[in-house]
Amino acid sequence: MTVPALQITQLAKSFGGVAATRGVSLTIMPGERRLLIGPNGAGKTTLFNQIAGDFLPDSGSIELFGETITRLPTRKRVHMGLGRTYQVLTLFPRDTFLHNVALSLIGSEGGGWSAWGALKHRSAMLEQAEQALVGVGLGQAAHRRVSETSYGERRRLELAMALAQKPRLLLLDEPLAGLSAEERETVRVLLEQIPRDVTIILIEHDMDVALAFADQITLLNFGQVILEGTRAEVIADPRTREVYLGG
Amino acid sequence: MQFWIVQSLNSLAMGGLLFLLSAGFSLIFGLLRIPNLAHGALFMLGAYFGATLLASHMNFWLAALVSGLGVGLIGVVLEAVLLRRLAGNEQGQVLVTLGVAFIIADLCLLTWGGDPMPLGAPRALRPPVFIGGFAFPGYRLVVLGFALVCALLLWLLLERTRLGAMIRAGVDDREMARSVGIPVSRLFSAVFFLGAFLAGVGGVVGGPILSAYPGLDADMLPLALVVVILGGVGSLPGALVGSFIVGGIYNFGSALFPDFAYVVLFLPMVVVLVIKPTGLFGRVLR
Amino acid sequence: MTGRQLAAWALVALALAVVPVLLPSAFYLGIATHALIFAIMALSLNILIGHGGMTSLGHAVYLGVPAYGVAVMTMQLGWSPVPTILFALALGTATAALFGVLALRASGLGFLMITLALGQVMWGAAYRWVGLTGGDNGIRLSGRPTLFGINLTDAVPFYIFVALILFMALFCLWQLDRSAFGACLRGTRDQPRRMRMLGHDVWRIRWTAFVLAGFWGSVSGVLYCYDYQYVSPAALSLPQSAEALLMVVLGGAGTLAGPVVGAIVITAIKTIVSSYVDRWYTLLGLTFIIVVSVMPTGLVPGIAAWVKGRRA
Repeated sequence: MTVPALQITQLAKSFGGVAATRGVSLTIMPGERRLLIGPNGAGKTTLFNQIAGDFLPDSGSIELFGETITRLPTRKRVHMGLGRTYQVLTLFPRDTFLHNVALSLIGSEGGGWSAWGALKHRSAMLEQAEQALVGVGLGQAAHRRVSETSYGERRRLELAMALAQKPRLLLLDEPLAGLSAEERETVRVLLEQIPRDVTIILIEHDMDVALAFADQITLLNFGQVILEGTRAEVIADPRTREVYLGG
Repeated sequence: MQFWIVQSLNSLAMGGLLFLLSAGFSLIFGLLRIPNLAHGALFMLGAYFGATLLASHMNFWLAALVSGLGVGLIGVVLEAVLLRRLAGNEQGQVLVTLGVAFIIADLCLLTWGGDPMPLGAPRALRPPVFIGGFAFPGYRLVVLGFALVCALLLWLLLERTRLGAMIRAGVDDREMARSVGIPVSRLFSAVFFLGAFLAGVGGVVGGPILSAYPGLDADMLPLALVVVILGGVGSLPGALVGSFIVGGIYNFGSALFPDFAYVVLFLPMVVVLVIKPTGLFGRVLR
Repeated sequence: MTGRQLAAWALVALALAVVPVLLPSAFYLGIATHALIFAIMALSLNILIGHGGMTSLGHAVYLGVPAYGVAVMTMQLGWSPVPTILFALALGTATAALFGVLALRASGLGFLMITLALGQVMWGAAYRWVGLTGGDNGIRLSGRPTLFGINLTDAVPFYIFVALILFMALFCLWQLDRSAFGACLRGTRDQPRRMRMLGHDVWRIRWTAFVLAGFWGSVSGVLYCYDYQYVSPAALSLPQSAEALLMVVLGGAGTLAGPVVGAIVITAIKTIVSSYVDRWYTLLGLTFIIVVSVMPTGLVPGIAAWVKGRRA
């Protein structure tokens, strides 16, 4: 039997008496593309935060490729192959694109700063960073500062920073948010091109792109899993209509 | 035995004084999100005002009230003139309060000179009180009682009045308070007044024990910091409990290990920081 | 190193070398020496403030503790200069390692408050622990040492010694600025959460920066003790921490030249004012308020922007 990429069991978390996650269980197999849907406040990003380790759950467990990570600090999860992008851009605005990706690569090396020496002498790593930028079509922008670039380019940088680490499980939080139709198409193609040895969990409100991308869909509401199934099953289910139309 | 009883009472009186100092500090921090580093200087200013008024034969409690009002007014001006224009720049605000602390300290030195100025306790409260054969310094009991009354009044103000409800809402979540129409900037003035007023009154009431001297500000500010680090920011019960802990440790520390009175203070702070960095009663502020 | 960078460093060396020629009197050279020592202190604090985004109000600890280390070892135990200096540097750095653990339990204003409280604790210890520190009277050294056969008693050799160390400090911090670690430290300043999500140990990066700042602060502390040949609780006081902070903010946090410019300006003002009136603290306070209100980014970035604007 294959070990799941991610197995969440009965995860629960409340903030000051308000339950944000209530007994969520999820199993995601290697190579899968899973879409999380649900209205605003359904607990999608909160679930990402817990998978990433931003805060610890009150109860339940999380396993990454068969290893329990429930109480591990974020960086250890990252070193085990977890990657993430944010809905709200979190970049290093005063640095160049290249240095943003370099920070990502230094992070995945895991401490032990092999370089107290100058960053620019680490040509192998910078080469790798440049490749990651080329991979998202930002090869020419490598030496521009984040503050001098367009929103669409920053979105792609966000993706490049996650992909440069060669994650095994990638959490994408609304990678299309705020993009024009043309930019959406670019990112859609980029997402399609991610090799199948990367497992992806996606939160996305652009249903055209998201539904085409996903193998399986999980519907969340009020911090609970309402429904899980293939695209056709979830679309056909009356509970989906109920959640979205506030039945 | 006499030593322990007297020192315990001294500790309680010191705790009461620290509460007067740190309750305002904690509330200001809770609401404005800045540690007011001029708070020790405001306390000292209260002591000097009190010493001056007492020298002109004013009634002790009236002198405390007048000094408190004067210091409170200075607090309001400080907030309105200097801090408000730096809204959003918390680090800048802290540095400004530090600058004001230096200016107040220097002007006090200029005005009142370098020699300590004693503040006499009210005549009726000076003789020791005898309970069960032990002599208690009467004035310290009064200080303790006064601080507890202030704590009760503050608690009533915060829990039972409209102003208090608005302050609590502001401490809990400032953005939320603003969005439901609470006049947050007027609240800032009110809390700054209250905090500075308490510090000023505390300076006078503490005067007979501490007297007014250059450096009183630098002695008191770290005590307020430790109280708030211990008790948690913006919490009145935290300030009360923290004050008595710090008062006790400071007082017994000074009596038993005079060389290390300050270092001893450091121990409870270390323990709390290691176990619960938000302080005993603290919450994470939003 | 590129040609331009080499030229810049040569210019810095030249500027440092020309000072003894321009200031022939021992009095003025002494003031220049004070300024350079505070420049090292401000540079060390800038690691925390400028690069790490951590505002410390207790940096006098790393000036005062090693200064007391030098004074006690020299005057009470009779150690020779080299072991004394090594001990003082180790003492200051170890203090930073310990205090860093405590202060980094919090961030932002909590960090500021804890560093302030820890600084006051050390000040109080120096003030009260009379047996070791001489209390308010402080400890007076019997003279400057002879290091590697060079007697540092006179103003000129001591100035050259301090200038060499400042040059080294500038070079090391310039390297830090360009290193992977420097990039990580700035990353934790701008986006700590993202840094965690990229696999960085944010706490360790900050703590390392804290220790590094403590080390370079200790370097300034050793020089301070030999410069004034005297140490008192003033070296550990809140005004001393605040002055260092003001030097960084006034000159420009996060720049290499800023803390040096700030240190020179503040030392000059302090020297000039002290010779006329005794109101340094009022002026210090006013300077704080003016700097924060009028030029929050500091002199060096301000002038750089102005020059850029003129060229455009």
